[in-house]
Amino acid sequence: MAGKGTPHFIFQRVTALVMIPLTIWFVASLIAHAGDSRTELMEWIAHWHVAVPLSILLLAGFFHMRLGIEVIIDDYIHKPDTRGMLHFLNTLFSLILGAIAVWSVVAITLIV
Amino acid sequence: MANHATAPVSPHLQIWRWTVTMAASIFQRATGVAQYAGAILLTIWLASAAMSEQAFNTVQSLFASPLGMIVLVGYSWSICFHLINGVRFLFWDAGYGFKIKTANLTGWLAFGGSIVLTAIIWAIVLVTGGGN
Ligand code: HEM
Repeated sequence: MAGKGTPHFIFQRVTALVMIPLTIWFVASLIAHAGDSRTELMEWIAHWHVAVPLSILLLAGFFHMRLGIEVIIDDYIHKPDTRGMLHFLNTLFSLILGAIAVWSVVAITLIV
Repeated sequence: MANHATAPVSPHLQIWRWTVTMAASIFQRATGVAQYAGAILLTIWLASAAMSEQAFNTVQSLFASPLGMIVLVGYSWSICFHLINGVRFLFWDAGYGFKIKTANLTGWLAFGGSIVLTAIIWAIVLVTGGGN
């Protein structure tokens, strides 16, 4: 990722900052909802004040995850072709996983 | 070939020593990778809830199995460590906490704090969540 160092560095840290309060909130909420039935869980997620911050956490998380793995690939894989392919797979995988996760939150909101 | 016994050797191989700051840096990377796996689990869980009662119950019972519980405890510890040590790194980026004494102390804090936090989380879940 030659030449992309600075925005990369900034985005990795901005997403980290965004996730700090959201992760604490989400983990604390999950503890409170441990043992919930599917209906109870869905009713909780469907509130806008849960669905919106949860979606932000997911988006920031998948972005941060993609950037973090990119750095690790750059550190250990030096063959340009292999490195390029792994970067592509990392981006693709993060996008697919992120889409499914955010779609699930939207779907739950619509079902309830 | 020169005499290997007396030839100078690159110092990093001799002066190398395990330190808590080094361990914390390595674990930041390891827990980051672990969270990649955790993100897959979180996504499966959310998607199963969106899909059907049967899908959700299947995933829930997998998570509640002995192996599932071990994985979840590991995942929650990964989150705790990566978050605490992440804050520590963000302070470094802002220019604070570099003194060796401070860096060592906060390094131990990241390991100790994340273990204590994980224990507290699961203690609460076992006490309140189990009977729900
Ligand atoms: C909970 C909030 C989080 C915070 C505060 C946080 C913080 C950070 C910080 C500050 C770094 C940079 C470390 C450095 O300077 O080398 C980092 C790296 C990384 N994070 Fe996170 N992170 C969080 C969540 C996550 C999640 C959810 C994932 C994965 C799904 C993740 C995966 C990674 C990876 C793979 C790296 C790269 C590690 C490396 O370069 O060695 N993080 N994180």
